[in-house]
Amino acid sequence: MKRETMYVRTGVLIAAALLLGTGFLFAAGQAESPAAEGNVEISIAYPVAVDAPIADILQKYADEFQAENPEVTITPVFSGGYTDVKTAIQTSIEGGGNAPALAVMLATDLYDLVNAGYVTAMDELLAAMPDGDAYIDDFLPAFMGNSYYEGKTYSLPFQRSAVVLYYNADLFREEGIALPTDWDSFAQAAAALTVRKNGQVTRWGLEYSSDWPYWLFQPLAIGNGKNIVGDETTVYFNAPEVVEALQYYIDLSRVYKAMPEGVQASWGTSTGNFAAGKTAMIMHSSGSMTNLLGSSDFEVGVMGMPGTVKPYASVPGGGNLYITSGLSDAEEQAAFDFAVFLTDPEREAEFSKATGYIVPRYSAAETKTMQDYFADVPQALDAMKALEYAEKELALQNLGEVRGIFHKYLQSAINGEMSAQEAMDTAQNLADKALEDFR
Amino acid sequence: MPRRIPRIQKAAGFRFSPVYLLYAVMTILALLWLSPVVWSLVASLRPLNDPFYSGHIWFGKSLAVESYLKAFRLAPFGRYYVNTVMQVVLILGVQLVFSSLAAFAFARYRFRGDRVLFMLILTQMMIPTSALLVPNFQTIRWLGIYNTILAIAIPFWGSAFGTFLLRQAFLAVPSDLGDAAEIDGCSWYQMLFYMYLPSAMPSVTAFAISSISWHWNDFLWPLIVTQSDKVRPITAGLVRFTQLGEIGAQWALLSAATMIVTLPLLLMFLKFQKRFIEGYLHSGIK
Repeated sequence: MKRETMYVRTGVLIAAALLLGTGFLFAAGQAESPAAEGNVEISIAYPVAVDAPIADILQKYADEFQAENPEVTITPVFSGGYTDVKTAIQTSIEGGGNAPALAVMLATDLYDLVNAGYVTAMDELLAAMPDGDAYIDDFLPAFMGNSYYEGKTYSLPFQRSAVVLYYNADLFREEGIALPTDWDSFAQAAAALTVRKNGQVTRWGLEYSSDWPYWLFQPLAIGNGKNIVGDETTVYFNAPEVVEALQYYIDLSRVYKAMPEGVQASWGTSTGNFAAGKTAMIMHSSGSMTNLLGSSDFEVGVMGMPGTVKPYASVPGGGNLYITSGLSDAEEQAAFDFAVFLTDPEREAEFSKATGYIVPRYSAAETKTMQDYFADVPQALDAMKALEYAEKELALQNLGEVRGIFHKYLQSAINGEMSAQEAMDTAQNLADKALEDFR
Repeated sequence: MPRRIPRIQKAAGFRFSPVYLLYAVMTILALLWLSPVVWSLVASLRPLNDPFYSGHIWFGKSLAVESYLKAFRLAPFGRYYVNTVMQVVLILGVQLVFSSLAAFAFARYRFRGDRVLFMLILTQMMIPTSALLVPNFQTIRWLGIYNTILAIAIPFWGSAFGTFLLRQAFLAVPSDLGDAAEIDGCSWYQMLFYMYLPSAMPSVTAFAISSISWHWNDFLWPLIVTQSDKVRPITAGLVRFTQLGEIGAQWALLSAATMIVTLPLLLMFLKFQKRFIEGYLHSGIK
């Protein structure tokens, strides 16, 4: 027995030494051969997060760009989901290889990406544009909210969505209920649309998922006059407006009996219930619209979440275009040019039609393509309108930990384990501690 | 003597019940395991626009293959199948050669440091593949084979698990038999090829199936060392349907894609399951 243990130990030791050795050996790094003079080869890493042929669309755009710029070669690289894109960028940068020059990553990953040195600011490139300021001002402010870090611009809105309220317009008409305009009328509408037979609910007025709650919750707080996040190290979890918003969410089930009690793990199921007429209203991503319109046999309405101090509110989501670090000037310029090319109003209109993402630029919404589409599918315009009173999505330093704290205490309040005030005070306290080192 | 009789009677009375209990438990486990597979199959045959809602998650209004058609439209599964098969064969082929040679040496010969070396190989099994992403990526860059099927395969050529499994199987061959063969003038590779490998067939099959299923399902590494659909495996197709977080789960579409990816593997396992289980049993006994 003792001999065996000795062998095991020796084995482990040698293995560790070998590992370390190879690590050092390769850390020396291998230089990449530079591209031929004048020619630039770059790739763009992108995720697929909707059921649309994104690969084909991006390949088409890359071909169009190359036709206009023969010295540039662009390879779109499908890289899995959002997390996989980040891992791919991380591995190729840490591994000393050529990282894709452009990447579509979550807008909220900003701080992690900049802190790790994986992405590069675009300000110089924007300044060199003839109309750089006008270009940036053309993006919806809600989408640009997650692009700035320490006064610098790091990303351009690309495939963006928003939290919207979907309602069964036929039911509202049949029951003679007016569309809600504030919290009171919303709660009453949801209660009136809830149907019970012999104590059993046969139709809920509202399903408002809280299994990954910060995103869907934000419109409530914003509509009540206070976003849960301020600058890069500030959260307002226990601001009176936020606590009120949480209490209102809880009251929708406890007081108004208009939705299921406790934490609702219904992100994946509420869309089906809504389309089948089993739920009158749901809060969900604008990205679900195409499917909901296709699978519902009634008129689907879309609007922002009614608020108190604001008429309605929403919060953006989705991915932005980032330029990675460590590129040559020519590569960086080509990556930026292609990003601008992708965000061209006409192309964005086409992309939005094909994928269901919201056009991130005002000028894209004004194109004939988009105007025709809005005439056909007014809900798409309503989703964009919902963003009028939107503020930025929760993103700040130490995002993973802070978001985890918020989720935990939000859910314990929703489950009735703590009062709303107590839960948010605790969350604020812990989040402040988690952010201390970054101030 | 008389005291023994009641004992036997007692045993006889209860003899079948533990077996039935075992069968009952196994049936329940099998059903549990089978239910997601059956559900996916049923769900994948629902019309795309037929909403899933609480209490209505099995059959839809009708049976349809729409989801399969859409899945094939959204991802080049044909190309992916070819790539995955090539990748799996390339990995398994080399693994079998290397592992059987190494296992033969460890089972048949005594040499200085053989046990330490064997332990060293076993420790490889304890290192999670994800910890090696960056160093492996650097090696691939250095070799200049980025974006090839070879790049996907190379890191898995040396298999500790294969070496271990085959060594256990080879140890079962009596060494006297080997000695006799040697006296008769049998060379080492003839011995390996005609004596050891045939007797270790269950283990070889077991290893083959576990290697195939592992690499059939491998996702992150192939995704990182490749960038074009020309060389990517089938899991790159599946992920187009699993990460549709922004639009809520598309169960029918996701199920169809899952079926496309897993069905060949499932059928293969059903065909070879007997050998598969035998192989694991053999290696466990030794």
